[in-house]
Amino acid sequence: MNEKIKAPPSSALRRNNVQVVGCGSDVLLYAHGFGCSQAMWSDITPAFATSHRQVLFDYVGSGQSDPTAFDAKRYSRLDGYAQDLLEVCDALGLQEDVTFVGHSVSCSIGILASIARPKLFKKLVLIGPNPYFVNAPPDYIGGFEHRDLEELLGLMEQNFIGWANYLAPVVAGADGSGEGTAAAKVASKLNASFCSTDPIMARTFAHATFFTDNRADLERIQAPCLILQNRQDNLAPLAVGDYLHQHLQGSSLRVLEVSGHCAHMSHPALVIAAMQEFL
Amino acid sequence: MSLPAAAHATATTLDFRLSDMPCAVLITDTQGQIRQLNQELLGIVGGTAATWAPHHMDALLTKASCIFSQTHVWPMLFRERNVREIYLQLQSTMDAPVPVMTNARWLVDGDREHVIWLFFVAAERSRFEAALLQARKRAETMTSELVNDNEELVYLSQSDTLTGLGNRRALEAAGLALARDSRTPMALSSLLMIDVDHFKNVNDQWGHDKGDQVLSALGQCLKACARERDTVVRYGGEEFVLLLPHTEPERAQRIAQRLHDEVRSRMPGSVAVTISVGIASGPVRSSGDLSQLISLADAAVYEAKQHGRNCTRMALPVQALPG
Repeated sequence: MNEKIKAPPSSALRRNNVQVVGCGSDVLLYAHGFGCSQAMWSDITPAFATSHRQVLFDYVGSGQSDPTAFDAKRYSRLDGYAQDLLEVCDALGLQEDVTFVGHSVSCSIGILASIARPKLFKKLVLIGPNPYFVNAPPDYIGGFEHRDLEELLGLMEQNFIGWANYLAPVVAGADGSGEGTAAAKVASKLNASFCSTDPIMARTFAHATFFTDNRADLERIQAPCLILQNRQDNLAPLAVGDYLHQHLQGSSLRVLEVSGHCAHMSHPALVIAAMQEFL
Repeated sequence: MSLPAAAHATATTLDFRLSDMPCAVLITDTQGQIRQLNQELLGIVGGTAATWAPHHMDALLTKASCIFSQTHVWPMLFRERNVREIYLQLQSTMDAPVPVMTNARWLVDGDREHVIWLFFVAAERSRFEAALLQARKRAETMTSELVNDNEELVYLSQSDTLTGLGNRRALEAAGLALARDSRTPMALSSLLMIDVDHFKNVNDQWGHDKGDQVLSALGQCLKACARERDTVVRYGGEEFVLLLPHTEPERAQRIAQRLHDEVRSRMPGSVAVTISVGIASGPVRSSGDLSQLISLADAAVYEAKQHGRNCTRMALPVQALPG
C-alpha cells in the first residue's frame, strides 16, 4: 500500500512531500540526512509495510519538497528542520508514541524535536549520528576541522556549477528573490530528484549540518535511543558513537560491520534486523 | 582455491588494460574498500597498490571530498549504480590536493560486485570554475551593495531631515503602493491634512530653533497616534499628512480627534499649540486619486481654519461627488 496524501496547498504535507506507506497501529517516522531525500529509505520500508504505518518526508530544500517554502533564516538552523518535522507530525495528527528513525544530521534534528515535544517520540533509532562534526580537543573528536568544512562548501559549489541556473540569478538582475527557485527543472550532474535540489538550499543545509554543536542537547533526551554505529565511518567515527552512548541516558549502542555512512542503503538487512530487535 | 589458467590470463589482461588507461582508475568493493588502483592513480596519490589495498577509498580523498562522497556520491551509487562528472579532490604527494572529475559505475561480475572509479585530472578546469565562482561572488556583492545604496538613496530622497518623517515623495510612494494593492480596489482610504495653528507666532515669539523643536516633537506625536500601516509625512512648512489605508471616514475622524487630544496633552516642544485637520476619503487606485484626496483635504483644512481653528473638517467622500 502506498498512498500519496492529498493536502491543501499551504500544508506541511505537500510542502514536505509527505508519503505514508504501510499500515499498522505503530508509526515509524523516517528523516533523511543531508544530501539525500526520503528515497534513501526505500530498502528499509518494505520490511515494516505490514507492521507499521510509515511516514516519509523531505525537508524543505531537499528531494521533492516545495522550493518556494524555503526561508534562508529558518533553515540556517537545525531548529528550522526540526520545525518541519513537528509540522509534518501535526499535519498527520501524530502527538505521541511515534518511533523516530533518523540518519546522520537528522538524528540531531530528531533530538531537537524530541526536546520540544517530549511525548512525541517513544523511541529513537539513530543511524550514523554525529552531534558535532568539528573536533573539540581534548574531549571530543567529531572527525573534522573547521577548514575541512569550509572546503566542503567550496567543493559543493564547484559541483553545483553545472546547474544551469546557478550563474543565472546574478545575470538576471538585482531582485535577488529569483535565487534558488525552479531548480527542480534543471537537469544536472547531481540527480535533482534524489540529491539536494538547489545550490543555495544545499549550502544552507550543509552549514546548519556541519557547524551546529548539539552535544549539550543529548542530556535532555528521555526516550530510549538505539545508536547504529558503523565500524568504519569517517562522518561518524567510533569515538562519536561512544560519546553519544555515554551522554544519551538509556541508549543502546550497536556497531554494524559496515564501511561508509549509509548502512541503511548499503546493508539494509543489518539495519532492519537491528530496528526489529529494538522495536 | 586457485583460479583456472584461462581466468588468470583474463585477470592479467584486465590488469594490463587498467595500467594502460589514460586516466586514474580505482576499483573498490561496494563499500568503498580499495581493491585495485592503476599506475596513473598511484602517480597522484603516491604509495603502491599493496600499501593502499587495506584502505577505504576515503583515504585517497581530502576530508571535504570524503564528506561529499559519503553524502552525495555513495547514495547516488546505491540508487542509480552510476555517477558522472562529480568534482572531487584527491590527496596527493604534491603540495596541494589534485582536483578531479569523477565517473563511477557499479559493476556486477558473476557473484562479485565492484565499483569502478575513473578520475580525470581537471586542474585547468577547476581553476577556471573557481574563477567563475569568484566572479559570481563579486557580482553578488556588487549587486547587494547597489541594492543597499539604492535603498539608502530612496530613504534619503523620501525623508524629511528635520522630523525624520517621510516627505512628499514618501507620500507618493505610499499612495502608489496602495494603488497597486488590487485586493480591494474600491476600499475607502482616508487622508488627513494637519496644519499647526498660528505657527508663525511660535517662530516670532520663541525663535526658529524652538519652532523646529515643536515641528519635530509634533511629528513624533503624530507618528505615535498612527498605526503601523499608516504613513505620516511632513508635507511642507508646518503641514503634515497622515495617509490611512483602507480606513473609513468615521474611523479617520476618531483618529483626528485623538490627534487633537494628544497634541493638547503632550505640548510638543513644551509649547501649547493646536492643530487644524482636514479629512478626505476615497478609493486610491492611482496617483491621481491620491492628488485628489490631497486637494480635498487641503480645502477641508482651510475650512477648519475658517471655523476658528483647533478643529477637524471633513471633505465629502470622493465617490459621492458627481462624475
